[in-house]
Amino acid sequence: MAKKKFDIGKLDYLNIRDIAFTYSMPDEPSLPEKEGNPTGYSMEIVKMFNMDQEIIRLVFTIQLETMLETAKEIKGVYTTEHLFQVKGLSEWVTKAEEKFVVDPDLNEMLTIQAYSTARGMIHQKFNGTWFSDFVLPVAKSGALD
Amino acid sequence: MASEIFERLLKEVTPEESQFVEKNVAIGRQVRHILAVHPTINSQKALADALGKEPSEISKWLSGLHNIGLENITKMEVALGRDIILTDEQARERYEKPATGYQVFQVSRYKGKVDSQVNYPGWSGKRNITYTPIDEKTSGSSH
Repeated sequence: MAKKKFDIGKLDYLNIRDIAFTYSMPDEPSLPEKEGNPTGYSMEIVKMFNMDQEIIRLVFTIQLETMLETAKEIKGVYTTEHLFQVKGLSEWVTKAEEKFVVDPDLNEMLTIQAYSTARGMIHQKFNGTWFSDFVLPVAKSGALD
Repeated sequence: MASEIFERLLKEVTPEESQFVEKNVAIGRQVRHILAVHPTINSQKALADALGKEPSEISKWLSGLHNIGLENITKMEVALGRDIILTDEQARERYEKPATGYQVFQVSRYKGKVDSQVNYPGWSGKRNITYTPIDEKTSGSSH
């Protein structure tokens, strides 16, 4: 039997909001030339659902830090929340060995939409900081599974 | 001299005017957020079409300086199918209740590095990107 494909029409991007933002830079950092500075980032995506409300919530956190020894103390953390309404959510969630599994197609759509939106929000949020030039890379298909 | 004029003008701004601009800017930001993710109405022009208005009028509404008015905000909310402003009570009712009943199904962590910054908005310059998943899928815990 052919695998049922998730219909994107059943997915509604309900809301996006800032949860937290911190940026720290010492008063007198020993700053090198900015051009070409490497920036490291760590991301965490926590996904959860509310079956009664048919809502999936993604909490997306990114931490940015310079990778230069002389400027390691410059850091920024930004967390956003993404809420999705999924009609008929129960059809796309299974439970196996006490673990919940969301349909991979749906899961990927949620991740791509939240990630793409967060890319723009991160760029805008860090405007005016040391990381103002940072642009989160475009994710290759499957890279965020 | 210029800074003195600026300081003087700044002092002339009343708290009401300051609050007015702040609220208007927040409304404009919220509308832009919605347009960025809306499946069909994804630009100011599309919103203008949906409302039967000129794009310049929508631009004026979202400038942060125009008194949009509750009636026009409501028109945008109906066209977009989303709330633009919510009271504290409405927001709590909508978002706090679901937040108590969530079940975590996946936690993913990734690390990456952008070796060379892009000179935005020109998108020029070399970028070497390392993109490595470091941990995936912790399932089944409640939140």
